Amino acid sequence: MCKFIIRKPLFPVLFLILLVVEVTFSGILRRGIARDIQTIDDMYNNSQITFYVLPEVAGDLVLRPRFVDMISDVEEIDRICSYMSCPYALREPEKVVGMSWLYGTTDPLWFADKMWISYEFMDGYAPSEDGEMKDWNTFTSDIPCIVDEEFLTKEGLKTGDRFTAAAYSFVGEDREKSPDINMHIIGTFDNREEKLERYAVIIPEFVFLEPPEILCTTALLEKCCAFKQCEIMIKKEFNRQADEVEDKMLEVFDRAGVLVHSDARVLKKAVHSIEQRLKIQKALEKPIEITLCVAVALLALLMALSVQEDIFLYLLHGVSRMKTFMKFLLALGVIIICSALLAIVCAFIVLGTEWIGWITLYAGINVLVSIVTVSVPLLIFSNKNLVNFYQTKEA
Amino acid sequence: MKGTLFFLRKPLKPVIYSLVFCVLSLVAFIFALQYELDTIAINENINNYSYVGSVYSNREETPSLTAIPENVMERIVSSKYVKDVEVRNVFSARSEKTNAILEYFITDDTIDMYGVLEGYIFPYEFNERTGVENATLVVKKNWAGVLSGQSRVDVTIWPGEEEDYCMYGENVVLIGRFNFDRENNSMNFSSMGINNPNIHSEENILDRNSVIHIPMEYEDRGAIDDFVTEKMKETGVYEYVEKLNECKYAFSVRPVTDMSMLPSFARNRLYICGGRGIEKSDAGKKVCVINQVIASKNYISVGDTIKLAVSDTNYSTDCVTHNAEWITGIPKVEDEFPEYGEFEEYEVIGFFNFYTTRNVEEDFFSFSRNDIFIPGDTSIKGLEGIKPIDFSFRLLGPDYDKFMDDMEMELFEDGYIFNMVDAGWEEFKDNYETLTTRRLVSIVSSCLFFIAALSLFTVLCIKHFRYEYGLRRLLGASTVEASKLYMAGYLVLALPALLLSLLGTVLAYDKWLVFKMQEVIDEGLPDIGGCFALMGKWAGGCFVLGLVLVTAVSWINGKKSLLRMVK
Repeated sequence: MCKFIIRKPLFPVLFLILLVVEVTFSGILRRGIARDIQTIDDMYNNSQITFYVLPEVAGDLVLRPRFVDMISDVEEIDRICSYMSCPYALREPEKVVGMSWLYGTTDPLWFADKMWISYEFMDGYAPSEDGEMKDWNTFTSDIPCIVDEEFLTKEGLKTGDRFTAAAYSFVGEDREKSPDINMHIIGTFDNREEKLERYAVIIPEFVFLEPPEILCTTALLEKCCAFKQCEIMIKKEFNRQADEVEDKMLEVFDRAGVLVHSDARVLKKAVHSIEQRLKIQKALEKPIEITLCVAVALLALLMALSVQEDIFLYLLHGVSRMKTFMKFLLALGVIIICSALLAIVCAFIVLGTEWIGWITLYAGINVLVSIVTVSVPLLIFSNKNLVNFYQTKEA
Repeated sequence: MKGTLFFLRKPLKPVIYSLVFCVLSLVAFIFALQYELDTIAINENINNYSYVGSVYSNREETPSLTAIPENVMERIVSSKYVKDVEVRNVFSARSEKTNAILEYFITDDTIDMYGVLEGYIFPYEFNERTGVENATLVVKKNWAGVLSGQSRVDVTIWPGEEEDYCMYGENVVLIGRFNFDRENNSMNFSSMGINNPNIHSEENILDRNSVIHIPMEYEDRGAIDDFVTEKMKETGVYEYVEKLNECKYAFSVRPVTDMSMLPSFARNRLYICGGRGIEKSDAGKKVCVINQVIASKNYISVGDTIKLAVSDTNYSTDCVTHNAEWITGIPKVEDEFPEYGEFEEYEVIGFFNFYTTRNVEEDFFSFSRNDIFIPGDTSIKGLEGIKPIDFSFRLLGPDYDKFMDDMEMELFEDGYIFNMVDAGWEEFKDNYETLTTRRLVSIVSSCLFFIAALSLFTVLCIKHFRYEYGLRRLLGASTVEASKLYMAGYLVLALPALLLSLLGTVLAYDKWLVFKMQEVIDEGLPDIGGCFALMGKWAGGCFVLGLVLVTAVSWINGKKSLLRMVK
């Protein structure tokens, strides 16, 4: 076989070069595609898509609780961050009946971000690393609250103290009907940006809605029993179906007369160009691989055609047809397999260990195709009549 | 040619050579196609992920109102890095049936809006010090102004004389103002201020006649309407109420060339939530993009048509909100309606909305729900008197730094700064570089495969035709005549193979690839003719290269020993 390669090196060398280029290049294409797929997956998996409920026409959002209840049933929803507010007055310690505002929220940390406030908590009440507040949304008669720093000063209270207030909208019936809200000060907030009213108090949202709900008079129900801000986060595994989730939300919120805005389009825009690049590459990957495989097979065919003179001579010297066929098949097979091994090594050096499986498989397919391609002409030549072989002038 | 008979005698190997050439050319064409598709993708994205912005003075109190000097405009417009430039205007338009959402009926000193509401009033607090009474109005009828829907409105009244006091539960008509919420860029319809008739100027009829008490004996709707109308006419308010009602058909029409040139759009504050936006290809068409809420309230879908009569007038206020000036198509109290053109049909191609949490430091420009975008001419007619809010230009991502290096410091020293919005370039940058690299790899690979195909074909042909060439030369043929064998081989074998691979590529593109690409590339994909032209250029280049190679080989062969050739 070595003599054969030395005498007729052209086709074996071309075959080797093409096979190495094919396997390595195809591997690089595949790796690029895999990386793009991973990038897109990471972008979808690491993004939190939020739907913002906005007023339809103008002014403040007025979103009644029943719509939020309906949305809560949507399985793609991860959590809903919202707040309500209502005026309050102190009952104990009773001071001058001035008015400030109670804010009820499901997530104080989210609320702090919206209102540009910062908290200081009592020991044992600071949120955990994953942002969970201890007992915040747990129904209890001793309601945790976070108060304006100025509130403590004004009322002569400190963190850890308790006080009683009631929702109050300056309509007479409130004083009699509004239940007591017994609150336990677990922290304070710094209202430097003055987005909240002075002496505002932050409490869990369930106090507004669960019995004994503080919004129990006509005036309070009318004015205050509505979410002023509502943001809905969906589960990350549904990020790719954000459009369908938005449609489900719109079905509910359309009746509420509000709009829904999501930042999904920002994610989509960011992902779009990468998906475009990926799609182009994926579409052309298979044609490139197949075409190169065909080119390699054709070169193998040329290799087989180049040995027909030698086959003729072997048959002329009386070597049996089977032996001749096997000898040349072995010779060419060894060339093909050695070329494939070299291609695997080159591709391995370029791509690394994680691709060794695919490289081997792809090289193996090429070897198989090439061996089948060379077998056919070898078989034909080995079985040809010598006189016909000579007379066709192919030899 | 005589040489062709030679191929017919020994067809097998030439056919295989031809096939090898065809297959390797096909690989080259696939890489060429990838190069072209990557180019299309880059061109499509580079506009979508560009920088859009304007320039304004940092020394003026109201930068958005201060016209950009001509020399500054000249420098920007003539910069080689500026891709697109747009100067926009706004015009008053009237719809035939589509109702606006009346967000402002601009007064002379504030961007407030008048409303005329009838209902039962329930005062609940009177401040003796200020003389202000707080009350709740349970709305029965919206005479004019605000979009109906609220059932209750908080009102603040200055009762004035004792006879003007409102009794608890009394039926009244109130003419008041809804205040503009700057942070949310919208009117606050939940509360209305009824102004003190004693302290407002003589000219302001609406403020001087802000309360109409409806006597208890009027119970029938018709009687109440007649009484109120009569009262309004007596006081002169009625014409303003009529005008307010007319305003529900008034819109602000904004001709644009490309909505992506709006800084708010680039910042994603204003976004398309249905259909599509106005694009350059819509020039001259009667299409429009309207606000989602307008569409919803008027039951308009994408594809429907609305009738608009556009004027060449607009209105501006003397009032200045923080960093924004209202230029609108909707008249103020004292303005007359303009002359409108004929009603024309506009197809609704999309809906827009805006994310109302507005950062006044960032956004120059405010839109309202009554804005309608249509395709129009936004080219610069002159450099004089252009305000920052009406002007925007686009920089492509790769040119941004160069432009800023060129212009930023110079203009800063003159007292001007740029307000540029990154429409996603920083996120797209890595992808752009990857695509650019891939384009380079594709073009190099394509060239290499073409060269490899030609080289291999040439080597094989020389090997195949060497003996024949030698014989012909020995039999007396000249070098040129004998070389025709190679040329014949090239033309008879390589050219059809090249054409076959070209045809295969174009057909594969047209029948299969284009449908896959249409999922991700919105515009710029060539049709079958376009693809043929693109790939044809590559094929032409390959053919010419092949001719050169064959000619060179023929010449080289002519120098070789004939005996060695025929051995």
